[in-house]
Amino acid sequence: MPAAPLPHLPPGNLALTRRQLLGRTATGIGSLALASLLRPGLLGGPAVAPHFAPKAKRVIYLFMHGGPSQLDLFDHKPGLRARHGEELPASLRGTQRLTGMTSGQKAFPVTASLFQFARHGASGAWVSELLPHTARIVDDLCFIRSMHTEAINHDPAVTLLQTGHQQPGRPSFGAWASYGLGSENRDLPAFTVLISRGSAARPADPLYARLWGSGFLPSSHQGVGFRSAGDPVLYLSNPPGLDASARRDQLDTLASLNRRAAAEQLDPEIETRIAQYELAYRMQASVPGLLDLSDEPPASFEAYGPQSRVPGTFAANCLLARRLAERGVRFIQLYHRGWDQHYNLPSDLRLQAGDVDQPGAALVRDLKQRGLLDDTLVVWGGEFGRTTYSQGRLEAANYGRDHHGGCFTLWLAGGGVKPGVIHGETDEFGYQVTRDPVHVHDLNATLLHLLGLDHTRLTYRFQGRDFRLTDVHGRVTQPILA
Amino acid sequence: MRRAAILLSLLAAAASPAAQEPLDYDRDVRPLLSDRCFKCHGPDAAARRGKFRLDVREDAVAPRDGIVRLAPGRPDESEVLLRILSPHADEMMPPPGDGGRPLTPAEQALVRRWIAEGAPYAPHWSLVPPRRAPPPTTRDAAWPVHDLDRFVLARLEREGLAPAPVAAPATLLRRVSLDLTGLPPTPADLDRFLADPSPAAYAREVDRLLASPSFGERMAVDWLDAARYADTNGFFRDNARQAWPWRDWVVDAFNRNLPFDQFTIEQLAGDLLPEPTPAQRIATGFNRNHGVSGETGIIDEEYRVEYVADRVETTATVWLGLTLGCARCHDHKYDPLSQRDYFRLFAYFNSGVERGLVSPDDPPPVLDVTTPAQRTRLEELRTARTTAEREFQARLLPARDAQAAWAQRAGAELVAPADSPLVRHDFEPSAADAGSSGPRIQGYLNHEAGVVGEGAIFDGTQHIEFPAAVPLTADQPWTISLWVRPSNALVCVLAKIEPEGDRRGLEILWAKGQVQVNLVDRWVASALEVHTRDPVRRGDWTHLVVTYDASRRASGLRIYADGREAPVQVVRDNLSGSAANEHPLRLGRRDSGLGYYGQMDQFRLLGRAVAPGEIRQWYWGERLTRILALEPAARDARARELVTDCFVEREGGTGLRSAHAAAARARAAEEEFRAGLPKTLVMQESAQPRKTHVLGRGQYDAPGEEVTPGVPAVLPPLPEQAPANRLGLARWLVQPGHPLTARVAVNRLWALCFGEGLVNTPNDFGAQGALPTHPELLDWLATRYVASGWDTKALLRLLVTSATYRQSSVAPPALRSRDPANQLLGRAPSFRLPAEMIRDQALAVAGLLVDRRGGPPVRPFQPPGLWEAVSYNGELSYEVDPGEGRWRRSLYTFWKRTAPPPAIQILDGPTRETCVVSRPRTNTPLQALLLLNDEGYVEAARGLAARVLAPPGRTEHARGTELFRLVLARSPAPEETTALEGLLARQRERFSRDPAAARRLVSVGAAPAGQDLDPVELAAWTTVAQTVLNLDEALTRR
Repeated sequence: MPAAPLPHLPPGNLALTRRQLLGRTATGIGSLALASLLRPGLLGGPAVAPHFAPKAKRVIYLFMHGGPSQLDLFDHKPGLRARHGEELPASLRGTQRLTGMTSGQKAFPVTASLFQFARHGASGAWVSELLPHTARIVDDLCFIRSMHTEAINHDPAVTLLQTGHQQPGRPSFGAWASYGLGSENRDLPAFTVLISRGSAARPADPLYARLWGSGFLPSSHQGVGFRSAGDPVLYLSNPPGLDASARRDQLDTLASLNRRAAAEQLDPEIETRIAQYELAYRMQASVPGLLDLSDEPPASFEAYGPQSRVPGTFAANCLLARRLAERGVRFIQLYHRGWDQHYNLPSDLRLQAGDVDQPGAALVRDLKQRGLLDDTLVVWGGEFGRTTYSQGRLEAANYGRDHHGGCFTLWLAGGGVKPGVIHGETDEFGYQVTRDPVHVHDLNATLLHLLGLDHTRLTYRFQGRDFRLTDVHGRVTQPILA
Repeated sequence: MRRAAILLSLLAAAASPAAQEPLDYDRDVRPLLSDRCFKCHGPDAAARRGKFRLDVREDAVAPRDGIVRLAPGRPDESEVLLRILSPHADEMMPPPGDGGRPLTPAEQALVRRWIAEGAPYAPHWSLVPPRRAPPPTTRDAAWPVHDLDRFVLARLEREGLAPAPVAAPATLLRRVSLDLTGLPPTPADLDRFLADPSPAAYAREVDRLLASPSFGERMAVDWLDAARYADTNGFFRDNARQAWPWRDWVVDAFNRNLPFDQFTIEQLAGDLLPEPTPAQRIATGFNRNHGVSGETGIIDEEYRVEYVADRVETTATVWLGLTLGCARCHDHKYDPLSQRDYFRLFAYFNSGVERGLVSPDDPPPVLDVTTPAQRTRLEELRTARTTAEREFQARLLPARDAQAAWAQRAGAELVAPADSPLVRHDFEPSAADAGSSGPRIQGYLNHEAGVVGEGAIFDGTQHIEFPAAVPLTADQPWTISLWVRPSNALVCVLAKIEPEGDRRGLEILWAKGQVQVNLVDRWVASALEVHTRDPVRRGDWTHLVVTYDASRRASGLRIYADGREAPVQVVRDNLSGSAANEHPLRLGRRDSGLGYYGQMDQFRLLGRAVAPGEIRQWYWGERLTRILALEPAARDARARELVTDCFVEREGGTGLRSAHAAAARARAAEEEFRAGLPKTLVMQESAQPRKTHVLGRGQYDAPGEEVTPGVPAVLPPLPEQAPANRLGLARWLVQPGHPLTARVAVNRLWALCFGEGLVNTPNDFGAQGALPTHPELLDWLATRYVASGWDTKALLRLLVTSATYRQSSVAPPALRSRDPANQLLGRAPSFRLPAEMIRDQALAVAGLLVDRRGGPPVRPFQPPGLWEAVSYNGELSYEVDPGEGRWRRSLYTFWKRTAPPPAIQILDGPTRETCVVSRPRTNTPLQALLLLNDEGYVEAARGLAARVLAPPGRTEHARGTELFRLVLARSPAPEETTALEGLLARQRERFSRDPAAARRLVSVGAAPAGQDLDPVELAAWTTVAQTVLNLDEALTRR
């Protein structure tokens, strides 16, 4: 790869990153990584040129944490009704690994969904009655019904989907995006994280800081949490009794003393520090405005639903996600917790779907209306699917489903994805993929591709090896590209 | 671009292949070939293309099928070069697809020249034992203090450069104090050194610092990163664990200067030493620090294998500097390490007794870690208990016949209240299918043996519902009786309550063993809220009874556990309504949340407030039902004890009863003391050694060839008599002449003093890692370290008293651009302090730092909500310590892996999920926000302000000077004083206009510092102190 000229930057950044300069760059990531390492500061910095023209400039990742049931939401299997309660053919299960929660189960009764499905839109996509709003936008969505993963439990499955590896230690997707592309907004983090709790009765599974961590990438790439209670960004507010003008006075004094030290020490790193303190000051001004929804017209709240007025809900986070996207935040990661329907699926799934249906659909519509959907990629999905058979006893109006990595459904919208597409197919039991399988690594390769990044070339040298988000796997799913 | 090219440009002529000198394969050629060729033509046989191996000369030069791949001396006949030069995509090497990067013309020329020079090979430098070269002679003979300086100076002289001048004494003292203890010098230290900044005085300061107990605390931080130490289990629920005794062992080991070979042996194999001491067993916690998973449903062996793999990879990184993890799934692509090598090392760590799926918080094996004082106390308690028990048994003996006779009739005597229950549920499996009049069971309940008959098992997803008409209000008396055995900290046992609005109704909650009863007409305004003062759980099952006398008074609510009334705390007592509602009565859930985990049995609702005596009898009746039905011989110890307890209570005379009570008290005292004793995770070999196989693709379920414990073939062999266990491995690592261990260890110590290692990839000494900037110096230090008996303090003393260390860090722009990374060591490095040091410094200068070493982790301030956001069901909350835990050194801060302390994370701390031997150093706005706004830092600024304000009658100038000296170890220059006094005046003016604001600012935090001072003055000085604490100079080690 030919060497590209370095961007014009204050020399301070060279000192800042000397380790990377010597130990880690110039190993094939070339100008790309070098430039991102040399961005002035964490939050700011011009977006660095990607490998090729990107379709998507940013990602809004609606992560349904716990594993939503594809069989009750998207992957309609009418044939299961007739077999309801029958034993799932053992041949179908084959040697596929089951979790320790059901591997000892004596019976594996086929469990038809309790919910009504209908086809929608010009694409004729099947969507269950639990997602009426989503059903109305199917022609903007691309469904991948043939997702699959080898992980069968939450911790490894979520970690695989978000970091490309089941065990801890690797950078998260958002960190890779921040590393490869930088930020479009000088005053906001490139990678933000918003978490909401689901309404299901079942306790929500835990999350892990590593899911938005930077792994072995410089820690400036880790996701920054936007919180609904207390400081929206940790430590954003001045201490009580110290207002903005007092802070300004402090910062001016600080800068003048630091400049004096810079002249003495001849260390350009000091200029960088002065700049970071100024950036912090600007964040203090810009973040509250970003989070203050009072400038949203009533129509916004109507569109995203009544919960969008309640801070910390998925609906409010969707509205915030749109505001972050408008301001050029590169990677906006939402987690909605509570999708782990081992038992009481009918009641709990209804609650979870109720949390996300309207706001998720409103977000896609809203982005489209504002012309943002073209270069904003929206991803909706969880870490795996759920089993065709019931976990525990199958009752007339109640059942549960265990984790299932063999197949699951996820949808994408905007950002260079073909709309109105249904990609992949599963067998009549909804147990295995029968056409166009898309592994987690394929998905990640595809998402990077849409961002203008070649997943084989977005690398970082650590322990002598050029690591990738997709490890040594992954193929771009070409048919879904617009 | 390639690594070598960058190195060449930065290191200038010295490292570049001079035209007149032959190429050095190790330095000039291997990095290129490794990076571009070895992945497909290197050590990994499975990945090898075209049956061509380039990393071994014999293979490379052997012609095959008439093609000469590498013809020494004849580049134009060498297929290797022809392929590299080929313009055709199907011939070109590396292949352009697949992420391959073509060689630049300079690199092509290098390969040509190497072949022309005869294509010499050499073993990789780090695999050859270090050689002690004589220190070079230098033109400037005066500058070097130690021999090590001669290596540095010779190199600088070759570059035509001179070392930087000596740093100012104050700068030097602050530097060395921070490097060796993580704390800044005190003004007294400073005065003493400034009075005599001679080399001898400096050496005395160094000795003082090395002898300070703070030394071990500073050294431990880096080791904790490498050892991925944390206070939680890491995966999924991320429960807390006790491993801190290992952390304290590390601090202590550094402080007593345990030689590094012993440090190694004890941590890797302390349990296998002959008659290991408790401390040596604690040391083995090193290999238990990895995360463990308790996620229901994981496959036990899959995770057990991950834990072993973590040990292999951590050990390889920390001691060998090798990326052995790359050889787990296949042979290493760059280094001569096979997959078989990996699994032979794996075999050493594969014979433990631990499991993959862990259930308790402290995953076994654990070691009780008691102090001598605790042991003495335990012995006393044990003696007291056995004495009391013997006494009781002696008195019981004569009553044996009476007891047998009583047991015959006890079943008939111990009856429940005769009332017909208003509602009952027995939790028998058949009841689930009872007719429509029975309760509705939501979700699938499993059953197993309960207290009477079967009991039900809940996992938070089920509940049992009774009709709304059940009479359970504030205007009628009632008694609820239920057996519970909860397995979660916070659960709802029973509720008949409105899900929102007034929340009218009744609920019974179980919170960490305490029982809470809320009887509500309108929440807050009209309600009874009562909870037991203490946890009520005694054994496994608890018989829970709540009685209510219709009085609408808290005193009318009583809670009984196992037949005894529990002391309660009344939180609210203002009920003025009926608390009646139209909601069903539920067992096992409140509204949509707070599901019950654990077991339940025998639910009864009676329509009166049952009297205490009846309740005790009720308890005994149900408790003994199952036991009395057994033949006496079939009763186990616990059952016999219960029968005896009941007999003594009901039939025993005064003497017998008091002896019984004394024995119970003694038992309780011993148990309570025992439960509070510290434990720690340790290694323990299984009695049945586990076989180890090469695992296909590294997967737990693909065992292949069986292997025995052993070390990588490319490294020196084990001694003949070496035991095939971790002890053999540990001794091998530290045997003299080992090529890696000492170099890797010394490199880390060098990095501690100089910011970066001589090998600046401290985790990779392999072919893909960086070459040492000063190879002879690295070897000189490594051999010296071994020869000194692995004396860590001596090596550090040597490094920090060197001329190289004592240079100024100021670099003129020309030098900085010539050597931006300071690879030539022509100045001292400057870098931002690690997270822990920045915080500890603030606490120290504020006079807040609590000088106490060791013990359980502490919880200083962190913003609320972080644990709830990620923990299972949001059930875990971080509770800030009320007292001194706020002000301990940062290495004692509780480390939760899935939500690490933000004050450390933001300043580049790791997650402690994997081994980390160097932290990045970033410079971000979030760091500015933390240091300016975090409650702990604001509190420290106030402490610092109070400290300089407290002595009365001093001028502002004197106070400002002291403030400066405390933080920066120097007095301010006149312009600096002017700037700070300006800030002070403006802030004082602002706070005098708004004294309420001043009071708010000085109320941040919990430390009492400055309480007696004028808030306006204190607030103004607090802003000044904050400013000084945030100066670049305060955050940077220069």
